[in-house]
Amino acid sequence: MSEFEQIPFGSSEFADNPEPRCPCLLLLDTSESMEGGPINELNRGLSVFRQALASDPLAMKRVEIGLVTFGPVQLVSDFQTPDQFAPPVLQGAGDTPMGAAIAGGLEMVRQRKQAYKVNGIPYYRPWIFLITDGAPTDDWRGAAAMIKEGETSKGFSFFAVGVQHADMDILRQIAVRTPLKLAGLQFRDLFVWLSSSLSSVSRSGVGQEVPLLPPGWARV
Amino acid sequence: MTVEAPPPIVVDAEGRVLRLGRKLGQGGEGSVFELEGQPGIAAKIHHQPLTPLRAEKIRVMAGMRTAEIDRLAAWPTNLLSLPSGIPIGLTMPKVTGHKDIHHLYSPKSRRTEFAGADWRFLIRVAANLSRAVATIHEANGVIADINHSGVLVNQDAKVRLIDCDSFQIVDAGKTYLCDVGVPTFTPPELQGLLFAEIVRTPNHDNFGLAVLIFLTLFMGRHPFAGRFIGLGEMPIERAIGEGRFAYGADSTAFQMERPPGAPSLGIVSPAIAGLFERAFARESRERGRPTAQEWVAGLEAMEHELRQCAFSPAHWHFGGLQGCPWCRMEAATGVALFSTAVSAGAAAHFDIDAFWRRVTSLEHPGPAPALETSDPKRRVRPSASALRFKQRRALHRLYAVLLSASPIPIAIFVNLPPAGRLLFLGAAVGLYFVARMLVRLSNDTGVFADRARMDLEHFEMVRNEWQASAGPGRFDAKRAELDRLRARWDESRDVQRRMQQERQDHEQSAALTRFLDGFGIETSAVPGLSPSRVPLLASFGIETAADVVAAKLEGVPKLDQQMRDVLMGWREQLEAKFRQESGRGPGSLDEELIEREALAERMRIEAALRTGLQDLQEIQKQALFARISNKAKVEEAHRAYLQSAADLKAVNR
Repeated sequence: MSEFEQIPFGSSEFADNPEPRCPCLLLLDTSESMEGGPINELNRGLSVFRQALASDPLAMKRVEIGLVTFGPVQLVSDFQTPDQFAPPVLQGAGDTPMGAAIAGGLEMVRQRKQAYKVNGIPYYRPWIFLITDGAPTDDWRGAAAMIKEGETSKGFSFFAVGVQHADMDILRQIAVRTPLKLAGLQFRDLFVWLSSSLSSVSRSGVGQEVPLLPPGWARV
Repeated sequence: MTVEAPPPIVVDAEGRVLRLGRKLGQGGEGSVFELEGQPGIAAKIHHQPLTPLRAEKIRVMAGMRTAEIDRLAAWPTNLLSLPSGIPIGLTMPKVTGHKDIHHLYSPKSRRTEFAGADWRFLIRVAANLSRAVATIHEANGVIADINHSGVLVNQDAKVRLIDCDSFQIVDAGKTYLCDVGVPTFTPPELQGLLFAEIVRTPNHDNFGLAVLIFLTLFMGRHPFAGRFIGLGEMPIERAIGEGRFAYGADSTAFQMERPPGAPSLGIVSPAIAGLFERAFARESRERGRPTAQEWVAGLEAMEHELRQCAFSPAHWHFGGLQGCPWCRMEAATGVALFSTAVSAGAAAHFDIDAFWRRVTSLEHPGPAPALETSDPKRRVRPSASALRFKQRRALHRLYAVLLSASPIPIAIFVNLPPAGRLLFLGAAVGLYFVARMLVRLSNDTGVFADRARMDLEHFEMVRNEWQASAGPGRFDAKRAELDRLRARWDESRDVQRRMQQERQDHEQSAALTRFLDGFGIETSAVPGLSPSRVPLLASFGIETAADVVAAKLEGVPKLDQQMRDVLMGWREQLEAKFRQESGRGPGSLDEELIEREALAERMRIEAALRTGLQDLQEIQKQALFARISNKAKVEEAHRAYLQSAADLKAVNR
């Protein structure tokens, strides 16, 4: 091999940290009904999430957090490792355009996987985590079909979590996996669970099935 | 995880009672604790009781210990049981001051966890790792589950193997198997198999060892993680199984490309490159991969062939290379590989054209897509409520006309005096106005007007948001910023070049003048010049060789051509002598200072260019995201407005 061979330009984040990536997309409901107690607990949960991940050095290099809020739909932060992720202070306002948020989120996941491929970065099956306290105010059927397709082709794992008065029936129609109901406003427990689940995924081999921990925060 | 609180008291094989202390860490199988009063020892307590076979394996391993093994591995020293006698874990030497090897090989964590570790250090670690593996192999052991968190490194480049209770060992003809493995370190012949049933061999270990050495020398890149040019997914496990070594000489045949920004296999010595090729070739499952000893020998040899980069003292590379691969890689990625800042040498390798191609190849998002609702051919019919309103109003109008017309027949047909007729006609007119007012009052179109106004306001707000988020405005602005940076970069390069040239020219001539001034015409007998001419020349200001220039000589009367030629020839000889002596010329210290400053400026611009490109990519993504997720919302607002406008128009007609 020639020693004069050129090195092509590459994305610096992957040269800096070529560890396999474990992307986790959070789709968070920030509609008006979340205002007050729920959104405060959610915000607290997000910073606990960041802290919990920080205690696992391998997860800090492998887990990537992306954040989309809806009410209205907003790309708050694209996928980045937890050390780069600054937990935002979310506020409740607006309606619940869940369908649009899912569609946008799935596109983000698709693009991120493309970036991994182009840069030769191995990756785990992405996790998408939807948290809502209501029912979609837009058309969600297209989103449900995309989720079904993605779960079947193992393109990602989609988890739905209902808070308080969430319409669990619609969530059941949207997600393939059984949606879980958050007990009270235990966002903190939920995010601690999410962090340790992602930790164990990122410790496992890419492509390995990792048995999930029982979600202690869910109400049966 | 359903981990019950661990028992605070355990008992070792000799029946000594031990008390668990602080928890040091947690893994898949169990947790590691300190032992009270035993500073050098750690206890690994499993979540589940050990099987009799596992307990026996630990007893056997404890009996195999040697001083050599203890130096390089956290080897089990004793079996631990619950006070009830159920085996639950083991003791082992506590390893302190060491860090997981993955902290060393990724540039990002290396900068903080192993500050100052250069490529020499990495090679030494790889060699020490090979030594440790060789020692285990000599003792008839197999590590079996080689992986990124089973090797610890300290700041002296020494390594310690941990999780030793999973090693495969042989004792008295009995083989104790290892039932785990990490797929990305597993050789092709074992991919997808159940480890619990397989007798592992050193040749299997040698695959995982080669992967770990590759990760260490190649900036954390996995040998089988490349760009797959074929169709479909190419997870590492599959690539390993199919022998698709992304850096190998045959990588093209395997449809693999090395990831952008990653160094080529050419950065290591040809001998080491050969070892990697052999370790990752599919045929090696039969022929045998390079052994740990071969790696030790190859890496030791390469350690003696290293050279320090002229630009950056932190860059050490294989001496057989012309340029520094790390400068090139830092230029290509902007990532500081061995120190806190990108080396100045990287600027020399920054390929502005290649970089700019990335900027220009980023697709312009174009205008925000047209709303489906804004098709001018689309007619919006008035809504049912508007139509009902119209019907009701028409009816009311009819009543009003009938009511106001009611006095007219009286005025016409009843025999009344003219004043009476006029009175009735006047009453009709009055009734008409009253009725019309009533109709207006009870059919207020203001509701429709308000609705249309509010919908318009809402639509305009949503549309402005949409234009800002989905339109090309932010992209264009960022792109313009990049253009300006590019112009500054070009300028700084030109300035630097010009400065260099000018300085060279200037310094050259100043130094030459100083040199020539040292040769007085009077003191240095110029061959062929009669001394009688010297005062004449001096009176025209020609005293040293520096003054001997054609223009000055022209001004001296009574100086013939022959004399001029003699003088000019003398000067030329001296100039030649100067060039011979001075070489590069003086003033190189200043030159370096100025050059360093110019370089620093260029590197600042380069950093800004890189960030700018990232921002541009981010903005493009945001715009595309907004188009997917917000279009329906704008269209809905637009539709609502078009409807209320159509309604308003209908009711006003």
